[in-house]
Amino acid sequence: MAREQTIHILYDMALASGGETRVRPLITKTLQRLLYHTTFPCGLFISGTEQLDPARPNSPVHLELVIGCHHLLPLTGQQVMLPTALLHGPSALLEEDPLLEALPQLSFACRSLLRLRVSADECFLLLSPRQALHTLPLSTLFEPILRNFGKNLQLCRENEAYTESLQAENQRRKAAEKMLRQERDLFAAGPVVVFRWASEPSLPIEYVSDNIHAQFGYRAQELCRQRLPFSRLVHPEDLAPLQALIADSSQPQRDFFESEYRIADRQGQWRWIYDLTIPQRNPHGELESLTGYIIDISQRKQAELEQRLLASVFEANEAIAITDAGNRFVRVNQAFCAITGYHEDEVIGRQPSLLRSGNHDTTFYRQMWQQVQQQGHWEGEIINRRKDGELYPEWLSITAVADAQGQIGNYIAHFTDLSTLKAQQRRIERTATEEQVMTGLLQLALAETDQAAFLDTALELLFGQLPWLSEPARGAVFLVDTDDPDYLSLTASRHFEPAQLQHCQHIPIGECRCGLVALQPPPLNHHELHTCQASQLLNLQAHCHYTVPILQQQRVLGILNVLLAADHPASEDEQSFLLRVADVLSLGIGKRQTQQLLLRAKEEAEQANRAKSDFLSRMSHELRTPLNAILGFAQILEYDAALQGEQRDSVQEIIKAGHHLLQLINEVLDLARIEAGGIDLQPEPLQPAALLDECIALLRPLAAARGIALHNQARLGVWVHADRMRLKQVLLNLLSNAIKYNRQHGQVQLLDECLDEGRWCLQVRDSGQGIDAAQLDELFQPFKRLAAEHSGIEGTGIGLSITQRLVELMAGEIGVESHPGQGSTFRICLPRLPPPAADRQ
Amino acid sequence: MQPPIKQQLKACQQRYPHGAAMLLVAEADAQAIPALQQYARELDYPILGAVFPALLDGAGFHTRGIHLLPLPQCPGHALIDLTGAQQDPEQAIARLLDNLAIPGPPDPARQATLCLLFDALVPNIATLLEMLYLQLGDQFRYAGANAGSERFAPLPCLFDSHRLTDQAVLAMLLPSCHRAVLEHGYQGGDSGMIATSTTGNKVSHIEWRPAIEVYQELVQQQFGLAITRENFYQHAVHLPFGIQRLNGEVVVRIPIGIEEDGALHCVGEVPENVLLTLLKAPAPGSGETVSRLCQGLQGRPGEDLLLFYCAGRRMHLGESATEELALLQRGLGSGVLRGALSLGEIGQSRGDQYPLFHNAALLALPWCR
Repeated sequence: MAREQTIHILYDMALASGGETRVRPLITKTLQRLLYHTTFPCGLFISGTEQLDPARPNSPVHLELVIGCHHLLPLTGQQVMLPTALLHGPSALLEEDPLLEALPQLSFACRSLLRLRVSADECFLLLSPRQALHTLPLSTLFEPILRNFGKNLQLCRENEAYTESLQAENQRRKAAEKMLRQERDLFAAGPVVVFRWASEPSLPIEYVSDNIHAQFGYRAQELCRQRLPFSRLVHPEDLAPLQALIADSSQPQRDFFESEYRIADRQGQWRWIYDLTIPQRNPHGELESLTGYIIDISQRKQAELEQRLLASVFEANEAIAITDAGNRFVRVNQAFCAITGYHEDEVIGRQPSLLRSGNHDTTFYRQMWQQVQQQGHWEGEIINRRKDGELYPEWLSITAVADAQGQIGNYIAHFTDLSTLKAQQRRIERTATEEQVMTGLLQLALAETDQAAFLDTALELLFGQLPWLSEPARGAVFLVDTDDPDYLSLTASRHFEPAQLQHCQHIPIGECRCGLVALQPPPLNHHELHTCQASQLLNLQAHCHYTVPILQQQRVLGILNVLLAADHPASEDEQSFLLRVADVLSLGIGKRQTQQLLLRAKEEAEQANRAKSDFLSRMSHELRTPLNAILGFAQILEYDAALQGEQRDSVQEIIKAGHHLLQLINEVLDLARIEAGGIDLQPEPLQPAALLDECIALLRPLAAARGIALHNQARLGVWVHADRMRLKQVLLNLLSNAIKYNRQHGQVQLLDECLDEGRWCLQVRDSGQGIDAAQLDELFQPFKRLAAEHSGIEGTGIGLSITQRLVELMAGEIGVESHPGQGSTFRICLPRLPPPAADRQ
Repeated sequence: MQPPIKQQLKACQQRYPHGAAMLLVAEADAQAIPALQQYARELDYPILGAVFPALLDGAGFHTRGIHLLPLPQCPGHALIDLTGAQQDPEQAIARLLDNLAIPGPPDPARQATLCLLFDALVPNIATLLEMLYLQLGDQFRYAGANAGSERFAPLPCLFDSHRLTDQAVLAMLLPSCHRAVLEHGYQGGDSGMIATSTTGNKVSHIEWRPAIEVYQELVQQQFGLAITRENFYQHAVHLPFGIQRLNGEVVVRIPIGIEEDGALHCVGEVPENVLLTLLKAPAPGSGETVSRLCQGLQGRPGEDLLLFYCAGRRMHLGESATEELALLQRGLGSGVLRGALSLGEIGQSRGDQYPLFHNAALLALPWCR
């Protein structure tokens, strides 16, 4: 064959191997080409020849490809043992070599072997049962092709490794995607809802699995599209703990957290959920997002709640006991044990008759169980006995529990200990009674009764109402004797024996229990409960008693003594109550003692006033009699023509002074009569206007003498109820004062008005010098002329006192306003009457 | 004068009740196949066969008739559809191996022959053959031929008792006595050209030029003959390409068609970048090919012989083809020569070489009884 043709063939072979990118097709195609162009029917491609041990006859190599030799075909890709000498060395054609006989793996007796070295580690072996009939130097001819092949093989291996890694990666990715799809499908069909939240406090929703619609009613797309903050769904009470967990999840070591909280479903109902959240981090460990797996545990929570409720019901304060069909205890709760005093082990297996008090007869129990059997239920109040023997009332309810066949299998009894309730009821009732007693005592204390009656009634009330006193209730009140303070006098008592009454009539302070307490009152709230010394003396029945001091400030007014049964237990409540009783008694006693003192003082004052009035009356009468004689003889003397000028002046002075003295005596007599109650008024309906005119007419000369103008502006034609003569006396006094104490050429105004409260008022206003405010209070006192004594104005200083008393006797009032330098205004008010019918017409 | 085929079939069954009948049907009598299948089914006797352009015997070629070759033991066989084999040859080979009941393990002393009859229109027979060898290696010898119409028109040409199909292969595992020998006698030229662009059996470019142009130049240079599109079919069969092997041998590829773009279609694939030479056909009447064939058969006079004679070779040799048959018959002595005009041949030129797909060859299978 021409050299050119050989080169072309080699070129073809080189191209054939150059077009492949994968290892096995490359080796296959190259080996096929080698076989195609040579006389060798079989070919092997072997690797692993670099580490051969020449000292060993056979070496393990990797049989990568076999073509032709069907015995070796199954070993493709495996390790085979081949003669080391055949594998070792450069490309060579071995023919009729004894080594070839050492290839028993072949399906034929090898006569010719062409070893084509690709690299130190790889080679082709072409095998033939015949001798090669080539004229070409095959062992060297293929060298360029083999080098080229070696390079391509390396490239293909790298490419294949890369491709395999890509494929493996692709497969892993596909597997992961498939798994993800399966997981999603699984999640979609299951109850676990998957969230992905952005790592912000409000937890914006980035992803949520579709099954949220089936579980909570929300549309996944809506939540994700809006990036709705998950925190809006969380119950406000649960949000803070959840956000604390989320904040904590930013810690790198935090792999996950679990939580149970409530979220609102689409309908706004709160649903309990379990949340397993896994923080998603970037390669730097920074938190990127949170993946949460949540599941609705509302039913579990409800079940837990019900379990807790059931447990708490059984362990409630109400005692519960369960008995079997034979009515033997099978279970009791803590309340049962607490109430009965029995431990659970002591009652299990025993019957409820263990608790019987003996207060109920057999008929009671028979009827009770009969009703349970027939009606399935009984309830009522029953007295039972505790383990320590104490009886106690309870409200018992027994329910029969039947099975599906209607057979009673258990009884459930639950009962409430009524002891406390009953005690509270008694306390309330006693408190109410005590408060009633206190109210009654207070009324008695304020009533206008004398001391003995007050205390007697008070003891009757006290001992008749208090339920805790012995029957009959006995007791007494001792008061410090006002005449002899060293003794206590028995002032009131209840159910005292005669001997006791006699013994206790006067108790020296410091003797007996009552006397001792009176001598040295115990501190507040001190409980005094002693056997009475008197009982030994008087051979009384054994007893004890409260001895309570009745104090006013720190002063002992008396002692309240309450006798009790001998076994009466001490009670702070009782003593506290009795202290309150003592306080009220103190109030009543003190009031009466004070009243007695006041009454006595009043009587003494009135008696003194009456003596004064009598004295004044008698004295005035005795003075007026000679004064009338003096004035009569002086007037006779005045008419004597023989009197000289000076004599006549003296007589006139006698007459003038005599009249003044007589006026004074008359007014003193008037005042005395008024104060002594010796004046009788005769009030009648009258019109003051007429009286006023009369008075003005009488005084007009006096006013004219001083140049004083009288302006009567009182024009109301009212009617008043007054004594005509005394009212005229009042008006004359006020008008004359207004003229006398006016300035020269002054004026007097009379004004009147009607007040709504049925009164008529008259003002008398002068233009005098007025009165100092400091002196106004003394204005209506007798003989107080307020510096008018030296003014030359005649007056006794009694007129206004009489005027005031007369106005008050006519149920009126008198008052004054004064402005120094401007004048004074006197004002009297009297009861107004409706006008008589004729006047109205 | 042969008895009617049905009688032969029945007689075969009677003689070899556990055997089978191999039928070679002339294209002109292909219509008889369904009736034969029906009859075989009635007999419950397996038949395996193919349609060829013509039949042959020691006297010459016959366009009519059916050859029945008895198989004393029914061989393992498979009739496999190869539609799509060009796109996925591995899958086609896998189906073939799955359906072919391969007895194992092989006995080196009694190496069976895998006889493959392809529809000639299967485009990648050489590739399939390489793959098969890759899988099976030297546990079998390989022999075979392409069936079909000489006009290369689609024709249901492969059959068994139940099916008659095209685009398929009929594989049969024949006993060790059927040791085939292949010879063609063509010689390569001194020069060669690279098939720079090929696809299957289509050669688009040679030396980067349209294949027809290069072919025309080679023919013109070597034989002084002007090839045109018009006379192409007349001359090409006489002037085939040869794929040059490094061991000096050639694999014949007969051009059988021209495309508009100047590409040439051959019987059998032409791998890209192979060295093509314009072959020198054996001289008519030389008897050299037959002589070498007989040498390969190792001279077993009196032995029957199944011969596939390439249709292209007959076209090239003309009457000399009949002379080759007569020469072969003489070499057989009393042995019966029967065979068919084939459209491609499969074999190993020296029995233990790499199996190849050939054209213009004679494939002889001793037909042991």
